[in-house]
Amino acid sequence: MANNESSPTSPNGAHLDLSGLQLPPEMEDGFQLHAAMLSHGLDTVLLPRQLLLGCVAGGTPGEVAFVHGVPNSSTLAAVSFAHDKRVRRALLERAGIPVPKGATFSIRGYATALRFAKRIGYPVMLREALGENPGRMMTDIRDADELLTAFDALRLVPEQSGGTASDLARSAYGRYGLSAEEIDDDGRRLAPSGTRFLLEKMTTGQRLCCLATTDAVLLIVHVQNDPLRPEVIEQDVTQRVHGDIRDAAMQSVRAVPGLSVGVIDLVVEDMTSPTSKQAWSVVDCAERPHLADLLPADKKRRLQIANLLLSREFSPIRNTPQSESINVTLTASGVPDASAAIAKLQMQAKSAGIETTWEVSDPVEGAVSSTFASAPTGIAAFSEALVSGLLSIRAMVVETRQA
Amino acid sequence: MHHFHIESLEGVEYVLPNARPEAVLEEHETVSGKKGVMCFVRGRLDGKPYQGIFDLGLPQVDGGVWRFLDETGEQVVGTRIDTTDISATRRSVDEVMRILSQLGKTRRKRRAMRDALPERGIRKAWVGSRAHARLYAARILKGKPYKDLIASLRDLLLSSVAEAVAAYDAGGAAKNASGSESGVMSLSPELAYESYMPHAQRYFAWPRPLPPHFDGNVANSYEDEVPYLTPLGKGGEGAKSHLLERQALASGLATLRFNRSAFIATDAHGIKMAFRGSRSGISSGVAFGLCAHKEATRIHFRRLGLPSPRGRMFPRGAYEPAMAYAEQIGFPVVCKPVLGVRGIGVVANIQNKEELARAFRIYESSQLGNDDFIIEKHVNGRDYRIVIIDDEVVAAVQREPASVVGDGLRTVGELIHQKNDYRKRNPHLIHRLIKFDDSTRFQLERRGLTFASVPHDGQRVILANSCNLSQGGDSIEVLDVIHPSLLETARQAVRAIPGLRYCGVDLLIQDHRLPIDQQEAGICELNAHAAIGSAEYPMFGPHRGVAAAFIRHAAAIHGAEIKAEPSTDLCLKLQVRGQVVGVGYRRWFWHLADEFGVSGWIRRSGPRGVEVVICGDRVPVSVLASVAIKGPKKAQPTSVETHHVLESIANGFEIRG
Repeated sequence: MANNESSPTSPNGAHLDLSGLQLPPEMEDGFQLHAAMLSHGLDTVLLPRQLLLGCVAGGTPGEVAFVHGVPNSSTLAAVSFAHDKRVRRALLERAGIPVPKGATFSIRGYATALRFAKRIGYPVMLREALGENPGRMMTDIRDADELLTAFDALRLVPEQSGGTASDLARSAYGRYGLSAEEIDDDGRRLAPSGTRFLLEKMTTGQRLCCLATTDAVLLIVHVQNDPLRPEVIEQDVTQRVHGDIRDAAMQSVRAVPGLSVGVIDLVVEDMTSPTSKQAWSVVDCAERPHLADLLPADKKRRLQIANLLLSREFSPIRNTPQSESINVTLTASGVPDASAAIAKLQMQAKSAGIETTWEVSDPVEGAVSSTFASAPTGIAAFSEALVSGLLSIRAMVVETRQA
Repeated sequence: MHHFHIESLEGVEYVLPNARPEAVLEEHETVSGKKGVMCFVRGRLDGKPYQGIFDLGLPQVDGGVWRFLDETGEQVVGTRIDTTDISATRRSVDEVMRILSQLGKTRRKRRAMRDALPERGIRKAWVGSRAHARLYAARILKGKPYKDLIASLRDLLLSSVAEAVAAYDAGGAAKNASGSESGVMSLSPELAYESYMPHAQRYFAWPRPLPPHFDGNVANSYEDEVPYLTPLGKGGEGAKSHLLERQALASGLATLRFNRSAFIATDAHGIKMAFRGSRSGISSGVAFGLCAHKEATRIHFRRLGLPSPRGRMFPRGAYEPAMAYAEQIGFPVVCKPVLGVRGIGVVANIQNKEELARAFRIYESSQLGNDDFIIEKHVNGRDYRIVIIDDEVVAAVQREPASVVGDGLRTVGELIHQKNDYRKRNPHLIHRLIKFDDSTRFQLERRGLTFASVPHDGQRVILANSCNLSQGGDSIEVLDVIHPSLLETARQAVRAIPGLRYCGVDLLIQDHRLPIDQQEAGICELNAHAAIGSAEYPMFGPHRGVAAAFIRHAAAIHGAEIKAEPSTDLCLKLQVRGQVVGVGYRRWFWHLADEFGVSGWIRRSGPRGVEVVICGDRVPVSVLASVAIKGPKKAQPTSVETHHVLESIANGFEIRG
C-alpha cells in the first residue's frame, strides 16, 4: 500500500529561491500562462490565488483570464464536476467511455466497501471522492486489512499550516470545506463519518496522460502506471498514439459539460492499437493543465503548451510574435510598509534575473513601481511568488504594463 | 361572582440537551434529554391582568397530539371560567375540556373539524378522505398522550385561576385548586427563560399571532409549499438545487441528477446545462475565484473606479498592524475573513479599539479564523442583495438583522418564537431561525434586555449583529421601489468580472429610494454562488421568479430550447439507478408520494433500478424528482434520470412490483 500524503507546500514566510525560476508545482500552470501572456505583448494583472487577467496592451484587463491555468471558458459547474470523482465517472460512462470498476463509500459504510472490494478483486485504490485533483489517495491495497488502514489514514485531516486563502493546494474555485470535523482520542482531526471515498480496481497497462481540449489533443505523455509516482517514460507520444485514443481523450473532456481543457489519464494495453481491440479505461480527469507533472524536465515545452492554451482562449494573439525580452512597468500594490520593502524587492527580483529600481508610486495603497526590460518568464515567476506570499514581502496585486 | 377570562395561551416544547457528565447539574437540569411543554397563560380576573408560566409536566409530547393541539386549541381561548368557589371553577374548566375532548368523537364533529382545518397542501390531501380523518382522530383521541395532555391542560387552567385569585385576593376560591394527577408546576421566569427557552423546539399560540410587519408590508406565508419541502433536508444546497430543477422540469427540460446538489438539464436536441448548487454553467471558475476572495474583488473594483469601501487585507494573526490601520482609516470598521461565506466570523460596525480586540477574538474562534482577514471602513447603510443574471436585475432584497417588535405584553422570548413560527412558513427561512444563543443574548445585553424583558408596544428589538438571513435576519423585496442608479452600479460591478453571469451583489445603501450620488453607498461583496431562495421567498414584499430567470438565461446562453410558459403541472418518469431494490426504497417513495397527494406508480426495473411515474402539481412532483436521489437509510441511489411523459394516471400512488 502506498500513499501520496503530500509534503506541505513552502512554509509561510520562507524565502523562495527564484534563481531557477522553480515555483511549487501547483503554481506552474498559472506561472506559464502568465509568461505566455507577457511574451505576446499583453498587459496583465495578477490577483491573489493565481487569478490572472490579461488584455491587449493599453486595454482593460479581463479580456482574457485564467485561474491556476484554468481558462475562463471552463465553467464553474464544469470545474465543480471535475472535483467530484463519482459524478465524473458517471458522466464518462454515460458518454460510452469505460472506467475501472468502482463505487463510492462513506467512512461509516466501510463494511460494504470491504464486500465490494472482495467482489471486484484486489488490488484496489481508495481516494477522496470530493475535492482537488488528483487528491489524496492510497493505492496498491491488497487485502481487507490494508483497506481498513486506508480508510483510517485517509480519514485523518492533514494539518494545515495556514488558512484556505493561503493554501496553494486549494483551488480558488474549490469547495470551502467547512464541514464539521471530529476529534479522535489522540486529538487528531478526523473527517466526518459521512465523508465519501472512491474505491476502484487498480488497472494494469500503459498509462497515458493526455492534455486535451474539446476538439484537440495538445500533448500525450506516457508515464508509469502508478498514480502516486507517474514518472515519465516517454515525453511525447502524441503522434504515436492511435487516433481512437486521441478521440477518447477529447470525448472525455466533452463528457463534462462546460469543461474547456482537461488532463485525461487513460490506461491502455497498447497505445498504438484501436480501442475496439483492447481493454482500456479512463482513470482520471483533471481541470488544470498540470504542466509540472506532464513536462517535469522541459521548461521550454511548458511555455509552448501554455502558448497553445492561450491562443486557443484568446484569438487576438494568434498571429502576434513572441518576445524573449520585454519592456514593462511593474507595479506591486498592497505591500506592507512599501518604502522599507524596496531593498528586499530589488534583491528578490534580482534572483529572478530582473534588474530593478523601485519607487513608491502610491504610499497610501502601498504601491511600488519599477520599469525595466526582462524575460517574460522571470517577470511572471517574480510576480507569482510575490502575490502568493512565497517571498518575505507580499503584494496583493501585481500589474504589468507593456511599454 | 367572579370570572377568569382566558386571553391567550402559548406553549413551547423544550428538549434539554444531554447532560455532560462533568458539568455541574443545576437543580432544574434533571434528566438528560428531558422533553416537556412550557406554557404561558395570560388572562384577566375581573379585568385585572394575569400572566403565568407553567411546566405541564408531560413526559413527552407525541407529534400527532401536538398537531391536534395546534389546530384545535383555539376552543380554549376566549372562554370564561367561574371562580366563585373551587367546585364552580372545576366545573367551568371541565366544560372547556369537554369541548376539546368531544372534538372528533362523532362523525359530524369530525367532518366539521376537518372542514375547519386550514387549507394546507398535505392535510388537504389526506384529511380529505373520510376514512383518514376518522382514523386520525380516533387514534389520537384514544391514546394516553392525548389523555395526559387534556389532564394537564385542565390542571393548567385550574392552576392559573388559583394563582390569579391568590394574586388579587378576590376571596372565595380555595388555594389548592389544582389537585392535580398530572405534574403541572409553576415556573419562575428565570427558569423558563434561561433553562427551557434556549432549548425550545415546537411552538403553538392561541389566538394565532398576527403576522410580522415591516415598513407596511405583511409577512408572506408560503404554507402551500412548505410542507412539501421537508424531505429536502436542512442544508442549503439541496433546496437551491431543487428550485433550479423544478424550473428546468417546468420548462420542459429533462434532468439527470447525481446527488442533492449536482444535476444536468438537457433539452430535446441534446444540449446539456450543468448545475451544482447554484454553481452553474453560465459563470466561469475564474469568476468564482475572483468573487470568493474579497480582497481580490476589492482591488479589482478599485482599479476600475467602482465604489467599494476602503480597506486592506492582513495575514492571519497580524492584529497589531490591523489595529494601526483601523486607527488610520478611522472607526467604525468591519473585520471579516477574506474567504467568507454566510457571514461567519464577520463583525461589523466596530466603534473602537476595545470592540476591535473583541472582534479579533470572535474572528479567531470562528471556523474561518485560520485565514487572512480584511479590515475595511464600515459603510453606514442597510444591507441589500441585488440578484443579476446575464445583466438582468432579477431581484433586489433588503436584509435587516434579526429583530422582534414588542406588543407591550409578550416577552422577547415569546416574540422570538412567534417570529420563528412565521419563518417556518417560508421555505428559505425554515432552517434559518432566530437562535437563543450567546450571540443573541449579547445583543440583548447591549440594550439592557433579556429574554424575559417585555418590550413596549411597537418597540423593535434588534437581535443580531449582522443582516445574514442565516442568523435570523429578515428579507424584504424592493425591486419596484429601489432607485435605478443603484441597480446600475450593481450591474457594472458584475460586468467588471470576467465570466460572471449569475451573481448576488451585496450593496450597503442608506436609502434605497435615493440615487447613489446622494448618499453613502458601497459594494460590499459579490456572491457567485448566491442563494436563490432569499429572493424567491422574501419574508416581505413580492416574490420574484429567480430560479425561472436563471433557467431562462441559462437556456439562452447554451442555446437550449425551453417552453415559453413553464407548466404548472408535471407528469414525469424517473429512472432511479443504484442500490434501490430490497432496501425499502419503493416503500419510502410510496409514503412520500402518498403524503404529497401525487398520483402515479413505482416498480422495479432490474436488479439495480426502479422506474417511477408521478403526475400532479409541479411543486410536489418536482420535489419528489429531486429527492429520489436520497432514498431511505439503507438505499444508495447513484443517479436519477427524469423525463416528461404523457400518461393517464388514476388517482393515488401504487407500488406495481
